[in-house]
Amino acid sequence: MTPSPTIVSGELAPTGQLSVSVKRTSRVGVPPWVPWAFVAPFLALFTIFVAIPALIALVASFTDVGVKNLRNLLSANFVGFDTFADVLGNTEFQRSVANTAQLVLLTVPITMAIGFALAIVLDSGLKQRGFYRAAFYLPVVTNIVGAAMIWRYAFANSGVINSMLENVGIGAQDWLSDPALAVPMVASLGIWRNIGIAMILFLAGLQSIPTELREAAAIDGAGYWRTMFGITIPLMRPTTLLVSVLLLIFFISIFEEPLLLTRGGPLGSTKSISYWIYDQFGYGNFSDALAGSFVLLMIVGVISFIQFRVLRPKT
Amino acid sequence: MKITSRRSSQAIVAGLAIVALTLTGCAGNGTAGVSSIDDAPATGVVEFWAGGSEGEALPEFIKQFEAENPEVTVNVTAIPAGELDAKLIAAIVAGTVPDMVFTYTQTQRSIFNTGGLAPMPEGLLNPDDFFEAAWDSNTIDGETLAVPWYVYALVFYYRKDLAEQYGIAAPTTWEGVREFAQAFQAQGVKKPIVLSTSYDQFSSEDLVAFSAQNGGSLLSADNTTWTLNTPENVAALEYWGSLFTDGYAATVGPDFMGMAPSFSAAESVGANYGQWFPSFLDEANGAGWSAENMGTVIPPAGPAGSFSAIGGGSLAVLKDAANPEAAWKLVRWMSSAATQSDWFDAFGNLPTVAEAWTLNSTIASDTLLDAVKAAVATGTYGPQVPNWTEVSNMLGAQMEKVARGTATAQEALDEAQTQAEAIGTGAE
Repeated sequence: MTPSPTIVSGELAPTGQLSVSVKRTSRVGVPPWVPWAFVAPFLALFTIFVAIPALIALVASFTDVGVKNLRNLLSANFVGFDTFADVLGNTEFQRSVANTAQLVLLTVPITMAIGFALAIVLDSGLKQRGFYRAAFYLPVVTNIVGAAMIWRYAFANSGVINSMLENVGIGAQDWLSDPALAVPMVASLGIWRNIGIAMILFLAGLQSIPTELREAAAIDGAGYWRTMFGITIPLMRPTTLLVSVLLLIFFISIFEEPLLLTRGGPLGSTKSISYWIYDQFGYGNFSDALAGSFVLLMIVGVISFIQFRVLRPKT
Repeated sequence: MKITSRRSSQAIVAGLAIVALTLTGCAGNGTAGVSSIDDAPATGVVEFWAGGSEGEALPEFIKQFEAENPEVTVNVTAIPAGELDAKLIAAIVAGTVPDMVFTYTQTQRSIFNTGGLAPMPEGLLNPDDFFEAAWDSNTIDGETLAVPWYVYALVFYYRKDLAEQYGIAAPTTWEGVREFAQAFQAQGVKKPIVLSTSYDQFSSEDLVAFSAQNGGSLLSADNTTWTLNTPENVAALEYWGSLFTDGYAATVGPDFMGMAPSFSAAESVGANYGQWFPSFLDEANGAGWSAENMGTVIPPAGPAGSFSAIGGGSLAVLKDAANPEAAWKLVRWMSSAATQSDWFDAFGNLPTVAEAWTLNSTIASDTLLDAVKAAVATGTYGPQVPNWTEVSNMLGAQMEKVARGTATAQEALDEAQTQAEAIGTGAE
């Protein structure tokens, strides 16, 4: 679709280099402002609701703005990187980073593995494919508040799960308030909610692999696993990258699951970075909350960059 | 925090503030309220934000005020209790404030700190009519920023019927609580005592009372320095923690709404709780159930005596209010002994005006309220500084370690003290 550059003149400069002047061709009758007009509504909304607030937030994160400055924002003081230093040195923040890292390490690989496995099954010509696809995708579109409340009731001390366990002779577990169980519980809710996304994306990736490649492999005598590791998985690199980045961004900023399921407890073991930021807003420590948000943004950026480097298509 | 390059920052912040204020469409310009309020009937519209279930009960109740002042309309907006502070802060920034608001004693200091509340006009009300502790909790540097509207005191509620049946006496001392719990355990009640296990600001409220009962305080007398890890507080927290580690209380106990079911089923039989408890139990089991089955005593005394954690709500008028005159007239009406007595009948919140306690026949005669009445007089509010909300949540998290036995009281309070010093009081 991009108009191709047309070389309108070329001459050999005295230095021996060929200098070429290029003029962009445009479609007849389409003035250059037309594309801008099409993106203008988006740009306007983006500027007002994303860019400007983000810029204000960035500047405010270098001040000590708090509750006391509310009626006169000018009374906040510029403190340079002090707020960032405070946040990074805060033991509760460090704890939330460690908690989040633990959740990410637990959830991302498992979600991807289950999503990939389901995609393989659905791709293999299952009969009620549409039904299963919808069923596994349902948690993605389910309201998290409702879902988390059902989990809370189900896993409560006198809830359905414990009653069932007691009936089969296994004792009741303190699912949501035993530190050893609460983290896996929060992780499970996150995984349950995201399997559908991973599955749909992997399924699309699988279906984009040309069947000729697999047929050729079959003719060459490759078995199921040989095809899987020799053809399917290597060709899924771009999809794997996409899924891993999406899941990472989701889980690194995980918030609703611990808020609704465990309130960050027990013993603060499920308090995530986002939850810490939320608390700071609640206490009126706006600059700390904003600085924490930008630290979170940087963590997401750096890890996503590494993922792109590691998983980029090999050519 | 350090102050560097204030001027350049002001330029940047000014530019952004203009953008922000343009976007929000308004700039608060702070008329400092009104200096005096006349006796003429209130007129105009009063926007009134009220949190919690009070917000739902008020519109009906305030019809009386509207009847007495035909020219006035009061619009009560009920806001979930947990969101009131955040909404109010956002409104103060945007300049789109209501005329008046009902704030909670525990968290109102951070609202005071915004500078968004108008001081009470001279002579509107007489401080001597109110309970002193309640009035003082709303006054900063001689300015009364809110008028105390109701008080509660946490006192010891217990299953009187079962105690009488088993011949167990109500506890009057810390040691008595252990004996009370042991006696009930012998009757098959596994965890007789309930302590606050939300491990947040409400658990800290337990420590406010236990610390006072042991002669301690969480904040220095001049409200400038946190004193969380003093020997008195460590011993108080040790006692609190021992009720868990000795097996008398569950580390995951009933929450606020779970108290009535737990006491109804006799899964727990003793707890420090507020005066709303009997009505919750009556709602679950039928009218008159509490009078028959529940007993109260003032909080079991520690070495320094019996002190109760008290709290409540206050009424405040905003500096940017559109109709402060009518709002103050509503505050005055709600602060009269007769209105407060009616409000107790309608909702059950205890008056802050001493006269209302004798005026109201229920308050004067309900024996379940005797302990509350005694406790309000000697009660102690939590630390009255803006950062108490943050410190109390942090402290609650440290208390969880003691309840679960993963840290000693000394370790938990040393850690809490370090963090509290980093947080500060917010008043400086």
